[in-house]
Amino acid sequence: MRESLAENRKWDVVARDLLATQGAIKKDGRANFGIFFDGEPNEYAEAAMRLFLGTNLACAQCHDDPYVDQYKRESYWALAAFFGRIAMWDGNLVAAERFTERFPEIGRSAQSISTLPGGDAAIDGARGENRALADLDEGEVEMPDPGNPRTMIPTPLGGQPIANADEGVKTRRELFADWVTGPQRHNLARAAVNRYFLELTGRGFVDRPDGFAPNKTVRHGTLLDRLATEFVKHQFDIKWLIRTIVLSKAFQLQSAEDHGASETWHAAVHRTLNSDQWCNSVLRVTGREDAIYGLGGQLRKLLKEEIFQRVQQRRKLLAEGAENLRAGPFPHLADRLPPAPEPVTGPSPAITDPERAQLSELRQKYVAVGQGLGKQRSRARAAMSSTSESLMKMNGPLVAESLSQGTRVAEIEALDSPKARIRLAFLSVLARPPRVEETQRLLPWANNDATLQVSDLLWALMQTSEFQSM
Amino acid sequence: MPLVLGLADSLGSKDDGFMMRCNYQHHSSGTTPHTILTRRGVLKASFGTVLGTLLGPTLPSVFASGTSRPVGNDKSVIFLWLDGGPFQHESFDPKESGDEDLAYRLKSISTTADGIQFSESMPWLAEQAHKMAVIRSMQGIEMEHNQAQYHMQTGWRSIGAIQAPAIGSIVSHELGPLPMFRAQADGLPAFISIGHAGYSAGHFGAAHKPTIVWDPSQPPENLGLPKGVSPEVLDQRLKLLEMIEAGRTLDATDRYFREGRDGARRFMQSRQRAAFDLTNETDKVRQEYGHARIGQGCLLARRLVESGVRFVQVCHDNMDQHRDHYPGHVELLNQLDQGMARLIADLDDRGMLEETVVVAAGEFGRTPTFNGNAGRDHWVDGYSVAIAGGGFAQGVTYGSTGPRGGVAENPVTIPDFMATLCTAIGIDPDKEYHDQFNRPIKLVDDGTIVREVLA
Repeated sequence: MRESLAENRKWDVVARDLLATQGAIKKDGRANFGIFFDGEPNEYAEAAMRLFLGTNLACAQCHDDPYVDQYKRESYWALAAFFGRIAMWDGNLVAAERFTERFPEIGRSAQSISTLPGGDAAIDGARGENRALADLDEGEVEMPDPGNPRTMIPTPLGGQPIANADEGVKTRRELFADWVTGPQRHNLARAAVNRYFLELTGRGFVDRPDGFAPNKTVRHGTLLDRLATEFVKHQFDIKWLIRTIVLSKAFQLQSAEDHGASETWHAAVHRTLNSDQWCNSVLRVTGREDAIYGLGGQLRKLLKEEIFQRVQQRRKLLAEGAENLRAGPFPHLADRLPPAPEPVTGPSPAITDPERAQLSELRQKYVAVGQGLGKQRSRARAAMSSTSESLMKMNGPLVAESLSQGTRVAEIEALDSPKARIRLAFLSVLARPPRVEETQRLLPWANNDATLQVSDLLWALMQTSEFQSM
Repeated sequence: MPLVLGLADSLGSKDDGFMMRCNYQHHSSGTTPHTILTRRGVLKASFGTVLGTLLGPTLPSVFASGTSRPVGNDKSVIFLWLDGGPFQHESFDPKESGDEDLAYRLKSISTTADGIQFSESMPWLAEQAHKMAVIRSMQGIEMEHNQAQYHMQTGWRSIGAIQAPAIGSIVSHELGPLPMFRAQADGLPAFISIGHAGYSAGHFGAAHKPTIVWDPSQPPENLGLPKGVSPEVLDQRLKLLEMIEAGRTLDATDRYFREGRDGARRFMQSRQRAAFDLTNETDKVRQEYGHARIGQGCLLARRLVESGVRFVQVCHDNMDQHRDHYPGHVELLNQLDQGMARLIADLDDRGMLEETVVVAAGEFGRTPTFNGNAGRDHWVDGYSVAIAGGGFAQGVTYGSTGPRGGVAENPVTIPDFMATLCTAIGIDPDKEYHDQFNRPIKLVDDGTIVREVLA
């Protein structure tokens, strides 16, 4: 996904990637999406509908949706039928059993899997990351009705069953991808526009990325349709979409203290930071991030040497391994070894002994900082949305250590006037200068109270809801 | 004054602990002043100085006014969460077999309950079996940890559309703090989780997520001020914050943070926080509970329930051992045995067992057969849950498994178990609430109450 976004892969192409790719995830990460559902066709279908068309059909797994005529149980399982012909290999016992149950004639050996379409990839997967996905020519989805299980024919939502689904050269998953990126492309675009709008501004045309349903009102529907049409015209260019949203007035509005804002969009709405955003923000505003990265920069020489050595060693091991295999009873396996990494050009950097001792010490420090932060991050994730969250934000080590180890406190202390200090503190933490009345409120206190510490002011600013939300 | 909730460093060696286990038998036969009053008894008693000395720093303020009237019931739950899945046939549902692939190595021992045997890994619980109800025929569905834990904790299978609340959040939401502590402004949270972040609170929201105590030997994380920050400094900082935010009209986000901060402040200043300080217990008691997290967690759980916490979850070290079952897994069972047995005895001595349910359960059991790594894998068809106190039957087992595992009679599903537990603590499992989409959802997904294990 990261690569797709970096190369600005078009959204409809990403959809097809995630919906139809076969192979081993080590070779092709796009196949991972299908593997995630553990071979449950209905879960795959449900996720595809939520992710790409913004509709949540989960209720219809067990019962007809009482509010939406279109969401019948039967439609749900007919969608699942698009995803019923998948062979999944993840090397573990449970998956292997499920695999064998579904395809008894294939059995569990890697050899027989290679006879499947995409089977080569499956074998690689079993050896490497242990995970692979292949489309098959057979396998049906039954609607689990006790006493009356019915084989479902793949049917797009609100469409006709694809009777000849199995005759063409396309896999069932490819047929689904065709439907999503073809007849449904306007809805694909609507769901994407809503998702990005929600992510970027905190509110959407519907309240959730999967909040579209025939019975739900869409806010500013004309605008949504207009944006969706333009998005399709721009060939599902995500960068265009993001650019359009961030250049809009809606995105650039100041927040206001008004509940109506989430309906009328006349002002930005507050969202609280998630734990990672909060951690990163604390590191950034206290200037601790700079301190940590500075430490990492000093280690560059040592790391370069290590990479050099590691690559050399890997090349040596692979060459030896290939030689041994060729001499043994299965010489053809030598060709199946993974490719050796490219040699690192240039000599290994020279490091003197005293320098090395100093760098190792620095490295230990760096690793310790990283481990400490890692623990604090995971604790922060666990603590979010509970009493523990407030305790962590007031008394926790991340705030305390960042105040004492970051560079910001010293930078602010170096300023002469209290007014300048207050200004830089606001700029550092809230990314805006203090308002006149804020300075006025704080100044007398700052002038008269000798015990005022810059760290206290930064602490207080970091407790504001302005800092903790965006 | 900064909070001082430190811990004496040394607890002695493991061997000392084992010796202490022998001593504790003598201890539990004696009578201590604690055995005189139950919580309910306390409520009924007159307000003499003896109460002050007995309850010490945890004396609830409602007593001082003399106006308390209990609302709701007095039941608490201590849920020993056996994360990863314990092996049923070497704990509460012992089996012996000559079949080599089964590889049961432990013997069965008789217990204080007629006709009930435990594994020899549970010598201390064998002494408490006459107070316990054991379900031996739990039948799960989910084979993988995440899904199985969600199922066991919420009573619902994990489906995307519903975020069901975990049992601790259900109890916190339905019952709140214990009645005699409810009127206190500085009471402890209703749901505390020891050694684990807890699971979903679902629709009940942040207020019913657990407050986390990572290490029972330490106070809750960040309850004390960081080094170099005095209470005066904190006051100053809060005053600054107030000045910065003055004149702001509060929106929902502001209120969320403000209420969170106020709650944290109350918690920091609560007189009940002394309950977290295990150094208030003698070394002897601490050793009797066992050094392991589960043991010290059991002791802390007892103290918390005494101080008004409604639901305490204590998480054992991860039991998910897929390789080298012996001796590691048995050691974990030993630790559970020591802590849980001492907890049951202690609650009983204090007259609290009747009002406190102690449950030991994991998300599933382990395979009767060995895998290729001399370990045991996940097993959902016939595992055990052990319960004591709080309106459960005493000295009974329910359901059974065959000689090679597998439920033989009276299968109990996870919703059945949840419905039974809810009923025992006075919560209607069929109660409906409305989730964020206004869908009516029952607390428990259609469980049948297992009357046989209820008193």
